[in-house]
Amino acid sequence: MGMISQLLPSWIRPQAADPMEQFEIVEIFPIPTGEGAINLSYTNASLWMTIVVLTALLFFTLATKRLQLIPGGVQSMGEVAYEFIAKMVRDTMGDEGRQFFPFVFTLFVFVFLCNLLGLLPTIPGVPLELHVFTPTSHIIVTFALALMSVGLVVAYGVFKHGLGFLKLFAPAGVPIWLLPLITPIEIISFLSRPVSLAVRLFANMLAGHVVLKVFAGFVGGLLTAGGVLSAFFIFPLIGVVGVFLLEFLVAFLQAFVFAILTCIYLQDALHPSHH
Amino acid sequence: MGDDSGERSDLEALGAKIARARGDEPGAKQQASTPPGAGMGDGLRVATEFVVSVIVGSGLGYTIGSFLGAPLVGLLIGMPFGFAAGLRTAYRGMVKANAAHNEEDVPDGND
Repeated sequence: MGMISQLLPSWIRPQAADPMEQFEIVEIFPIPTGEGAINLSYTNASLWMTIVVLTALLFFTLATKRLQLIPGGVQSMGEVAYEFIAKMVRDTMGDEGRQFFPFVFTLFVFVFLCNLLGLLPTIPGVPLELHVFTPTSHIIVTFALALMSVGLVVAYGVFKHGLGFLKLFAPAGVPIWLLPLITPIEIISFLSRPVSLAVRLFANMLAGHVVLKVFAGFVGGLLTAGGVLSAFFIFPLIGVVGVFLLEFLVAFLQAFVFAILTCIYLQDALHPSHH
Repeated sequence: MGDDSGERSDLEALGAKIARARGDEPGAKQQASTPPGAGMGDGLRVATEFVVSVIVGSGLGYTIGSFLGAPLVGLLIGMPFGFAAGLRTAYRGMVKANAAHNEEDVPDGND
């Protein structure tokens, strides 16, 4: 690394150094709280979630501003997004699911934009506070989202069916003597839902960004190695471009999976007895 | 939610109208039912769900065991339950995926 730091311009160095640095939480507006209290400071994670919400707001304002029968660019993008989620909700939950559409749509847009905007390149030289940040690469963010989904399932299930919601843990058609065995299995399976929702999204985003940074580090390393070795920089460069393109697919796919699993779980809240 | 039946029939009428308009249009393309890479997503989904189930089962067993004073016994009981839960989730997921795959040609398959 000593070699690299001498040869590269100063603004590349800290980025090339550590693939995990991009996930660091930096306080932008520190809010002083007491010792051992929850830190409420406005961080770079908060900043990027704000950016995501504002982007979504701007996009859908533009998309719905001057509605035309033959939609223009932004309007038709908005319509594609709407129809995509509306179809998903209808296919998984049927007509009853319409009441959950706003929730699922919001969730999808938020997760998708978090993933997508996190792929923007950082402007070289800006302070650490303004580095591009992917909120969904932090498990606490994805876990909070997953808890919202599963919390809604439990709240709606109990509200709609009362104690009948517990039928979720005793599937129809299972003989009585098997219930002591099946019920704990169903409970574990239910409890692992928020965890697997959260882990899947977080792990995909984290791994993707680490791989990008590591491959990019190879490019810098080979370029500064000197001699014949420098010519090999093209291979990790091709790799990093490929992974970057794949990450766009992953950004969409993970948001899609998050939304459709939320739909499938909500379906259980609608009909706890048969799943 | 029982008061919106009028709204619902309006929606259905609109849906039928849109479908008719689409059908008349020669260049109308069939709506893509699955996004690209959905198969990969399904596979990874089952894998995570399985691993997470085993971990949650073990953790739950361990916690209950610690309350009863024998965490390791709890862990040893919880782990196979987590394994079974993982298998059950994976099985259910695959049955659903297969059903969805087979129904793809039938346009209005509701359960």
